[in-house]
Amino acid sequence: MKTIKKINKYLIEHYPLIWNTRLVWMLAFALVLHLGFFIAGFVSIKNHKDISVHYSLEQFYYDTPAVFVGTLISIISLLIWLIFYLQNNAFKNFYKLRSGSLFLQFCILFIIFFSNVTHYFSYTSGITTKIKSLYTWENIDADIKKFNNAALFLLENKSNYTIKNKEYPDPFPLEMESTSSERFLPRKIDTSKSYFRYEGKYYQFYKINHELIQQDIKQERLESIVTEVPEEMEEEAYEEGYYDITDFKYRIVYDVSNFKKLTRPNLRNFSKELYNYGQDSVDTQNRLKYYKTLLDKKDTDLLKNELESFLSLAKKYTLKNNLNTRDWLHLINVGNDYEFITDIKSREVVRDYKKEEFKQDYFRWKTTIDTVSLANKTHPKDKIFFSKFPRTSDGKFALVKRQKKEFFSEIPFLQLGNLDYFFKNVYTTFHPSFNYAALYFLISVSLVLAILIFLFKTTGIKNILLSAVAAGVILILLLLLIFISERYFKFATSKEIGLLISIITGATVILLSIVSLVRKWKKIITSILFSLALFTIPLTTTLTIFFYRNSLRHLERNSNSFLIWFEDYGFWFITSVAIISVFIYAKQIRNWKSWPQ
Amino acid sequence: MEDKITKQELLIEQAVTYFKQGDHSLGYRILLDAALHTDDPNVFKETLEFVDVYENHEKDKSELYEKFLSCISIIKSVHVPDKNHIGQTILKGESIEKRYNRGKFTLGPITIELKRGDIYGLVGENGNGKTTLLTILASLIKKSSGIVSYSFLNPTTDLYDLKTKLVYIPQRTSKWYGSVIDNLKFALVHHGVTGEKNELLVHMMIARFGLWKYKELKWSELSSGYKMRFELARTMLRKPEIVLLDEPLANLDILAQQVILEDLKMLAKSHVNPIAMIFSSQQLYEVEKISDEVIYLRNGKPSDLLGLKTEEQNKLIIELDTENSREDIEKVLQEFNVEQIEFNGGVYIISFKDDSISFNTVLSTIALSNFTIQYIRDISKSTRRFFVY
Repeated sequence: MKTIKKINKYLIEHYPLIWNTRLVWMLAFALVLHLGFFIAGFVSIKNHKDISVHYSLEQFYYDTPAVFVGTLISIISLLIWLIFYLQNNAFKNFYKLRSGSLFLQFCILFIIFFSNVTHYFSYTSGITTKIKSLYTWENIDADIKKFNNAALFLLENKSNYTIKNKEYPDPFPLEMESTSSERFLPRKIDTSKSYFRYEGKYYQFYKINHELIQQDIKQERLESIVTEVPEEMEEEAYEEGYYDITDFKYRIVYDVSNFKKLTRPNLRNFSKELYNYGQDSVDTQNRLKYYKTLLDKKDTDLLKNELESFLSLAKKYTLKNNLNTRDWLHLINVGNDYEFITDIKSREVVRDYKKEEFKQDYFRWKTTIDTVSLANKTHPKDKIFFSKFPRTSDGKFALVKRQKKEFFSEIPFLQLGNLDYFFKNVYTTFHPSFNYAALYFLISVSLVLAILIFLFKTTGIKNILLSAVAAGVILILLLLLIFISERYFKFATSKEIGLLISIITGATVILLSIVSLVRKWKKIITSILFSLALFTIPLTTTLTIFFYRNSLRHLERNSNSFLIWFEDYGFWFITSVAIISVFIYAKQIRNWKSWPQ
Repeated sequence: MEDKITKQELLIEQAVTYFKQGDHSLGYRILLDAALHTDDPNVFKETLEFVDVYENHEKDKSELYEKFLSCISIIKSVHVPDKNHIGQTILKGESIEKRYNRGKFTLGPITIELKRGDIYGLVGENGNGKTTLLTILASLIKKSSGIVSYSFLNPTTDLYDLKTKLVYIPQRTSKWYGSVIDNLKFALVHHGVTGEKNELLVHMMIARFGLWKYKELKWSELSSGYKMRFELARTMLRKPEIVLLDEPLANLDILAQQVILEDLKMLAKSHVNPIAMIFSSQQLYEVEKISDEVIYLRNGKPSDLLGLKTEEQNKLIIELDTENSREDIEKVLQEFNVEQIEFNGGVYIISFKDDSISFNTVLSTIALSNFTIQYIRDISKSTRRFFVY
């Protein structure tokens, strides 16, 4: 307590603004709180299961009670601070203040608000620090690669094993068109080029000639479309019918008749990357090469080893499964060149009726030899039937070979669970991309609160309440105006009308605030106007830029250097506009305060 | 020329005299004023040591005379030159008018000139424009017409700067939060006094306005009288050139009123920082006692505009409180040419026609008669006479 008193004494005698705003204590409190949230984040993670709970690191804060605790602490601490902060008002009492003092006060308010609403960053820092202490990226990356390699055998979904998914060797991946109808053949398949028929179906494999499409867009018949469709939408546009992709001239056809057996689902088609976090094209190539080499060897022992090493990896990550290498190898179907038999369930089948239903799909054929007595087999048909089978040495019995279904003892399943979340969160930890959305949001909140409290401190509660009422009235009028304009003046789209009227209204408020300050209108009217103007200026600026953007043609928007710049730095630009407007108005508020009533 | 005694030295002599003759409180306050005039932190330190002893000394304060003298010698060691600011005009208001309620009430036109070191009393019944005039002079409300100009020692840079120099203390002062000492330090630091000097000067001012024992209290824990003292201390720390007070004596007991009035007078007449002070009050006697000039307002018009001064200034008017009847008064005063006897339910206001009748003559006649007097006062020169209808 003595130290606190000492510091307070020093501040009040030297830096009254810092003393009055309790900046030191609020920053100290924020520091402690940030530390608390950091520790909370740190201890909330104990193992990989904790990391797998949420899809992204942001959700660890925003989808958990942490956000409520953080918000609650922020509200309570800021309310207590506000009580102290509003107790002493040098400005209201006409104490001598330097001209920049009010703006400095606003900046301090902003710092206090910002430091007290940004627990999210500390919490996630705690989490990432803990993750870094538990894992190294090299190990996790190696495990991701192992999982991606093993994905070939996971048989999760039949659709992943169709030829449409095949990405190796060259020229795969290819687009595919198929039909079993002779009538549709000329419409679906360019019969002048290579195609084949397999199991009653016609197939053609090709790539789309994008260059040719682009040429057509730029030069010929699609010119009119170009002016209307933005570049990023061109692909979507021709998918929607602007361009006819069935037009055979856009097809580069390949002869892949050697792969016609693969038109049936097959492990050789599988190319999907299970987890892509931190994986590049080289990794993809290596993986596909691994698939090819492994499958080409057809070595069951080698495959068995691969499966076993996957099972130990599954154990490491406590993945629920009931896989055994014998059944699994059967499903891999080496004997039939890896033709897809059936899938491995992604979760345990619990219900009995489901078990019975699924069981029928999980079996292998087993050959048995029955010894059949021939003594009573007098019927000619029996004689013919049993004559095919070998006899026992005494010739009384036939050794009959039969194929029987041997069902799996269990329906195989492998539950990967939230492993995807785990790898994503670990990857984000080691390859952080700053959460600008959260930062922008928190800066905006701090800015609005800082302006509000700044106005409250300099002008009083009456002004704030009346300004809120005035803002409500203006908003209703604005909506009414937009509604009337949309209904009766159909000269533009509703979006444009809305923007235009909002800009005009905002500009009017700003203009009136300037006029009222220059012409010294009634004090309360002036304060309402400049209070509204402080919020309206950044809003109107943003809307004006949007209006400008809307007024440009789609392609111009993408090439407009200001808009490109605004996309990157727009938030900082608008924030700067808001802060500069506070700086300018703060000087005027100082004068306004001294006006006689 | 070197032997010429300075105003500071005169003040110090006064302090010694008062303390020596037993008027300890007055001597003590003058000592503090003299110390404050030096503006020297070392003097403040030494003085505060004496203050601590003085404030904690429960017995006869005469025992502290030696210490008092030693403190005086330290104050004396710092030369404080005469500044001669007293008498300089600081505020001029010409034909000030304020119309309310579409002309139903009009204040003024009032022409007023405030000088450094002068105290102006503003009297009048409620609703006659005293507060309006004060707030116009303090530039808090707009005037309908007229000119108000200020001549500060340091010219003002902008309107806000002007407001920092105009100190208006309303009848109901603002609420303050936190301790007395923190609020005073907060006020002073804004006026450029930081660090140790801030601490010392605040303590000096606390001692000067009798708040020593209450310095650690919160504002809300102070009584009305001490709240006014706090307000004066806060005001004086700002070194104002003009102070406008609206009913500073309201809600104060009689003793507190006397102390505050005396303090106001001492502060206004300070030779180092003389202040033009204007205050409104209903305490006519007290106002007239300390004011250099009294402005009486009736229906928004000052006494000179009402023509009251010239008409009645030479006639004797007395205010009398007695248990005797109106007939008894008429009987006793029958030898004088009584113009009017007016009874307002509490006191009698008696006006005499003859200019030659003096207050002493009337007093001796009453003394010789069998007459009971609770209160008698000559209000011929007092604005009290204007309160008669």
